[in-house]
Order: sequence, then structure tokens, then C-alpha cells
Amino acid sequence: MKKYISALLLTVFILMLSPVAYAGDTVLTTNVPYDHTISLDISSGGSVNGLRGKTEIGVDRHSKVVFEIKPDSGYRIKSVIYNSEDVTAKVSGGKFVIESVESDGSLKVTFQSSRSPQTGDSSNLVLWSAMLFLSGAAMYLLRKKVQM
Amino acid sequence: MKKIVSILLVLVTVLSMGTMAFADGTTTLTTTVPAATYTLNIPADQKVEFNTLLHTLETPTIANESGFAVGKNILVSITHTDFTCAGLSTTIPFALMTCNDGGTRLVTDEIKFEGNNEGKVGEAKREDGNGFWLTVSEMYLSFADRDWGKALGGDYTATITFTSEVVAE
Repeated sequence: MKKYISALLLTVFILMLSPVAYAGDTVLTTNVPYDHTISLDISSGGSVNGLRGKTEIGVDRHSKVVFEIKPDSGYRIKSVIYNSEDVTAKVSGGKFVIESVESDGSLKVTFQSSRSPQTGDSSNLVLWSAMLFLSGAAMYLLRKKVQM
Repeated sequence: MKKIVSILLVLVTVLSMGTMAFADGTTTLTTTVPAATYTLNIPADQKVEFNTLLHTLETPTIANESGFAVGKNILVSITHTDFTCAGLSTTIPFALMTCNDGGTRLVTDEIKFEGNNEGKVGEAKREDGNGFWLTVSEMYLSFADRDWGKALGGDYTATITFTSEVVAE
């Protein structure tokens, strides 16, 4: 019995000599959503999945989403921007596909008229050229008359 | 009778003239070193926003400390679990990092508060990988975008454990 008591006392003594450590916890929490929202901003001249203008759609997390981009008659797709990235080149057959939605996002689709765009000066080039020629000729004749 | 008194007087005289020595006497010196005491303040429980890549944490601090000295420090070990969600297999790992005044970011699992001459301790420091302890200016959690991306929907929890002890250099 004395042996046990001695061993116990020795253990307690050793424990008292050991450095004392204290521990505390910080608990962190986070929520991963089950679905996401994609904001659509569609210019005039077409629709995306039948939607026009500014709107939002809800999609399941990790789901595949297909956006069908349809220009109206006389329009064509100018640009498709997804989460600030130009993905116009990724539109195939009028469709832009997100394989797995992992966060909220935004899709901006811009359409433009498919007619030839007007560029440069629209004034009458022939008229102005003729006037330039005539004024040059008049100057020449006037100078000749003065010399005579 | 006179004889006895004389002997006694002689004895007293001899004894009073002799050097007294106590060969087997002992002097026991005792002293009490006061135990170092302190309060470790750790970051409060908090929520991390979904898709966050850097989440700042308050750096642990020491308060009400006493009984410290140069070479008598507080070492805080930091361990953590990944974010887990009951019933889901996906986890969201992260790294606990610290930044010093120079802006160097390092994964950190230990910080130290060095004792000083005033019986107090200094600011939190972390080892820079080369044996130097630099003051921690910021502590944060670092996440990878792909880890958020693959996590299934649900409520996740993680725990950071701070274990402190007084150590001698």
C-alpha cells in the first residue's frame, strides 16, 4: 500500500513540475450556398433564353447552364461577357455553356445591327472634288488675267 | 567545595577562550520564484464569407502578465482543422498565415511572446524561416479558389486551437 501511495505522490510531483499548457479554440463557420444567382444584362436587339433587358436567374450549385443567345432579325451578337471575361469566342451555335456553376455571376450580352456600319466622312466626295478643281481653275484664270 | 568551584571556573574560562565550531551545522536557504501568470486573448468565433480568399483574424495578444523575464517566454502553438460539414465528403482546407511589417507572408503554426526585464512580454512574433523572430503585423486565413469551387452546399465548421505555455530559451 505504501508503495502505491509513494508512486502516486511521485506522479503528482512530476506533473506539478511539468510546464503547464493552456488551450483555447476559435470556431469558424461558413456557408456554401445550394444555389446561385446569375444576373443577365441583355441589350436591345436580341434575347437570352427568351429573356430580355436586365433580369436574374437562379441555378443550382454545380449545375450545367446553357444560355441560348438569339439575335432579333437584322441583329447579330456583338459581345458576350461572363464575370468580366469576354467569352464571345466561346459562343457556339448561338449557345454559351457553363459546365458547373460555382458562384454567383453576371452575363452581359450586347447585340448590334447586322447592316454595314457607316464609317468615315459621309459628305459628298465628288462634289467637294469638283469644287476644288473649279476653284483652282478660277485662281489660274484670274492670275493670268492680272499678268496680261 | 572550593575545589569544585575552581575547576568549574577554569572550565568556564577555557571554554570562553576557545573557538567554537559547529562542523555539522547546515543553513537552508529558501526562495520562492513567483509563477508567471498571463491571459492569452485569442480571436473570437467568427463567420468566414463564402468564396473569401483572404480572411483576416485578430492576432492573439497577452494581457495581465507578470513574473516574466528575458529568456522566459510564452510560446503559442496553433493548429486547425479544415472546414467540414456533417454528412458531406467535401472539405474546405485553408492555411493560417501571418505577415510581418516587411510584408512577408508565411504559413504559421507557432508564435512567441518574449519576456522582458519589466516582468512583461512583448508583441507576438513568428519565426521567419531563418531563425529570426519578427513581429506579427497581421494574421489571416488563406483559401484557394478551387477549394471553394468544389465544395458542396452546406454549413461548414472549422476549429483553430491555440495552446500556450511558458518556456525558457
